[in-house]
Amino acid sequence: MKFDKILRAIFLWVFIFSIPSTFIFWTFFSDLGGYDEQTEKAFARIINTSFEEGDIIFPQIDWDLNFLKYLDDGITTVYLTLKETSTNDLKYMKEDGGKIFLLLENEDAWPQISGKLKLKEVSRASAGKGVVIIASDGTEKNRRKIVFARDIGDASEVFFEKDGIKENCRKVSRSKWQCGKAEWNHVGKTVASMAGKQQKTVWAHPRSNKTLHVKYKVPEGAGLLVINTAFLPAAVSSSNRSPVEVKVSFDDSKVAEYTNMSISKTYSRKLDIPNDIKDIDISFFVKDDGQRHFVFNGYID
Amino acid sequence: MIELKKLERTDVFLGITISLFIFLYIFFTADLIGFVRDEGFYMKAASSSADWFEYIEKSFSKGEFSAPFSKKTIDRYYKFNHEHPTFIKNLFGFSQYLFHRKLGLLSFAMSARVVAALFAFLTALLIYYFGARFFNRFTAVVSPFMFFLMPHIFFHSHLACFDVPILFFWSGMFIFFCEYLLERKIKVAIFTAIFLGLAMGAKHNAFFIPLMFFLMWTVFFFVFGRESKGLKILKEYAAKMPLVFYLFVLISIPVYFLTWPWIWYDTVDRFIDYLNFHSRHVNYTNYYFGTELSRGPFPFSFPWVMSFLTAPLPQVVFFLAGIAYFIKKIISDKWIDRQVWAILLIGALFPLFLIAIPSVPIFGGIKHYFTGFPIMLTSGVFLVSSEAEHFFNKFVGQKRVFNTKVVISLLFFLCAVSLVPLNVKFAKRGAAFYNQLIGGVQGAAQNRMQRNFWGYDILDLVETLNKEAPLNSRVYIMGGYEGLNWNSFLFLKKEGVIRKDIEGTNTIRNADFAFFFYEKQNERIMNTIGTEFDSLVPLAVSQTDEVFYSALFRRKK
Repeated sequence: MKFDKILRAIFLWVFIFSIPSTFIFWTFFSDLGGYDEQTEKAFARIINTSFEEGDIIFPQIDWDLNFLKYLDDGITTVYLTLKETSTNDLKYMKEDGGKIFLLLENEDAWPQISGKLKLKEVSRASAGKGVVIIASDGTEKNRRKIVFARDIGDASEVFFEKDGIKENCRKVSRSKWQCGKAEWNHVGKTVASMAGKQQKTVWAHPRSNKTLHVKYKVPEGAGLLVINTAFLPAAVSSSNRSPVEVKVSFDDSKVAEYTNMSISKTYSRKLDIPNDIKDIDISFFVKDDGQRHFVFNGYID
Repeated sequence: MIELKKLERTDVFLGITISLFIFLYIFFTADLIGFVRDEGFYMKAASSSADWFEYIEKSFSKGEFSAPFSKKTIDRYYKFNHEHPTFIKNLFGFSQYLFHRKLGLLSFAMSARVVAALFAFLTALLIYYFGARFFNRFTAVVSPFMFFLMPHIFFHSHLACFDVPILFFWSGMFIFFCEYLLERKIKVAIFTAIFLGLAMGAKHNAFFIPLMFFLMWTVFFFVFGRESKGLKILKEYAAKMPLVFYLFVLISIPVYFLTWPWIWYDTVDRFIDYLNFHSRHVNYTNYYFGTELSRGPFPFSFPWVMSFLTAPLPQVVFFLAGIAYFIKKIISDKWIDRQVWAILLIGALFPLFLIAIPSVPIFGGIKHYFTGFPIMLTSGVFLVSSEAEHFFNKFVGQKRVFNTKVVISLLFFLCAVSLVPLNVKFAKRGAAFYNQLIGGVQGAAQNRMQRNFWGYDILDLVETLNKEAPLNSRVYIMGGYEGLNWNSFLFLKKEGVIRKDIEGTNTIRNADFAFFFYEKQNERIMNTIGTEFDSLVPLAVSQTDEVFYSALFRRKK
C-alpha cells in the first residue's frame, strides 16, 4: 500500500515537472545546438577560398547543413560520415593529395579525430564560434598528375567518331561534356559502384556503332596509365548484352584493347607510357547502345 | 466488481463535441503533410475501388445486379494491392466516388484523407467513451486532447493509411470486450463481434485479438474463477464461456468476408497468399543509436525505448502511470476484474511486445506498435488526475483557498499549453519528433536515430521548385531509395501541389532538379546528386531546429 502511494505521488510530481520542462525545452532550448549563421558563413568562406578538386569536407555536426547555402558551385564532396569513416574509407572519398576540411564546433574534437583517421594538421582558422582544421592524410606525395574523374574537364578532346566523321562533345562545366540532346549522352563525373565501393568515375555511355574518344595531353613526367572500366548494375541486368570494346592508344598507336563484357566486373589495365608520348586516346565502341550504362576511372601519373 | 459508469446526456454531448473538434483539427490541417509512400498505393487502390462503385451504379441502373460481384469484375477492380484487405480502402474509394466524383466537394486526395479524419473522430470518441465508462468524466474529457497532442499521432491521423484505423479497432476491441465481460449484455456481444470483423478487415493485427481473449479467459477461469471440482469444472467452463466467443465465429468471420471482395473467389488460395505475404514481410531499415537495423535479430528494447522517446514527456508519464495502474489493479481486484485489467494491460502492451521479439521485422516508425496507446494513456490520465485530486484535497483543499477541481483543470490546461510549441514545430513532420529525454531532434540526430521516413517531407520544397523550375523540368524523386513514391508524385501533381508540367524521374542523370530525403543509409545519394549537378547548394531545405530532413537541389547550368 505504502509503495503504491509512493508510486502514485512520483507519477504526479514527474507529471507536474514535465509541464514546465516541456514548455521551456521546446520554447527556448531545443534549437540551441548546431552552427549559427555567422559560423556557417565563415565555414563557407574558408572552404570557397581554399578548396581544390579532390579535397573533401566533414562537418562535425552532420545534421545541420545550412552552411551548404553559402558554398560555391562545384564543391560537392561534403560527407556526413565523420563518426563512421575509417582511414581506409578516406582513399575512396578523396583523391590522393586532397585535403580534408574539418568543420568543428571547437578544437576539443581534433585530437580524437586526428588520432582515429591518422591525420596531421595543415592549417587551422577560427570560423565564427567554430573552427576549420585543414588536414592531410599524408598522401600528397601520391597525388596523381591526372585523375580521370577529377580532371575530366581537362581532357583535350571528347568526341564520337564514325567512318572518319567527328561529332565533338561540348564542355558544359569543368566536370561534364555534353555529346547530344539526350541527358544520358554525355561524358562526365559521376559516382558509381565499382568493385563493390562507391567511387568517383566518369560516365561514358557509348552510342551504337560509333566510337567515343576521350583524349588527354600527357603531362610532363608522366609514365603510367591505369584505367578501370565497368558496366553499372542497370546495364548488367539489361537484356541487351552488347559488350563495350575498350581501346587505348598512345599518339594514335594502339597499345591495349579488351572487351568489357556485360557482367558485374571491373576491368583494369596498367600501361607504361614511353617518354616521348604526347597524346593519349581512350576509346569505347558498342554495337547496340541500349542501356549501356558504362563508366571508367583511373589516372595518368 | 468494477462498476462501469453510465453515460449521461452531458457525456454524449461532450464526447461528440470533442471528437468533432478533433475531426476538424485533423481535416483542416491536412495540407500540412505531404503524401507518404503508402498513400501512393492506397490512393491508387481507392481509385480502383471508386471505379467499382461507379460500375455498381451503372450496372444497377441497367438492371444488372449480379455483374458487379462476378469474379471477373472483382478481379478487375481488386487485383491491385490485393495483399491488404479492402475495408479501409473501400471507405477511401467510396468517399472518392461520392465526395470527389459525384459531388465534387473534395479533391482526389482529400476524399481519402477525410476518411482518416473520420477515424480520428472515432478514436477521440472511443477514448472519451473509455474514460467516461471506466474512470470519470474528467479523464474522458482530457484524454482525447492529450492523445492528439502527440506529434506522431497528429501526423498519422492525417494519412490515408490503415494505421490509425487499426489503432481505433484494436483499442476498441479490448474496451468493448471488457465491457462485455463486466456487464454480459447481448447487444454488446453482438456489437463486439461485428467490430472484430471490421477490425480484421482493417488490418491483420486484429487476428491476434480473439486468440488472446480466449487464452486469457481460459487461464483466468482455471486459476481464479472455477468453483467446481473434478470433471464438473469443464461443465462450468463451458457454461461460463462468454457468448462473444461464439459470436466471433458466427458473426466476425462473415463480416470480415463481406468487407473484402478479393477473397469472395478462390477464398482459400487468396487468403493463404495474404498470410504468406505478411508472414514474410520485408523489413524497412531503421537507425537506432547508430546501428542500422536492416535484418534481425532486432533489439528487444526497440519499441519500448522508441515509445519512451517519441511521445512528449507528459504523455510518457501517462503511459507509465497507466501501466502501473493496471498492474496494481490486477494484483488487488477480484478475478473477473483482474481479468479485465489484465486484458486492458495486454491491449496496451502486446503490440509493443510483438515488435520487440527479435525475429519480428520492426518495419517503420511507431505506427506498428502504437495501437494500444489510447488504453494506457487514458488510464494514466486517470491515475495522475486522481492522485492530483487526492493531493490537493489533502494538503491544499483543507485551507479552502482553491477549489480542487479548478486547480486540477488548470494543471491539465497548462499541460496542454506546454505541448503547443512542440506541436507547432512538428506540425509538418510529426514522424520526426523526439522528446527532450534524448535532447529533442538535435539529440536524436546526434545519437544517429532514424530521423524521418516515408518520403513525404517535401511541402517546404515544392514552393521553390514550382517557382524556380523552367517549363517541363524534370525532378529526381529518389523513388528507389525510400524517397517519394511514384504514385504520390503523380497525386501531388494531380492536386496541384507540384506544377503539372514538371516531370518526375528516378534517374539523377536525367534530372534538372533533385529531391533528397535524408535517411542515414541513403546519405550517399546526396553526394551523387552533388557530383551529377556539380553543386551542393540547396535551393530549399526542410528542417526543424536546424536538423535537416530533406532538400531540393538544382543542376548547375
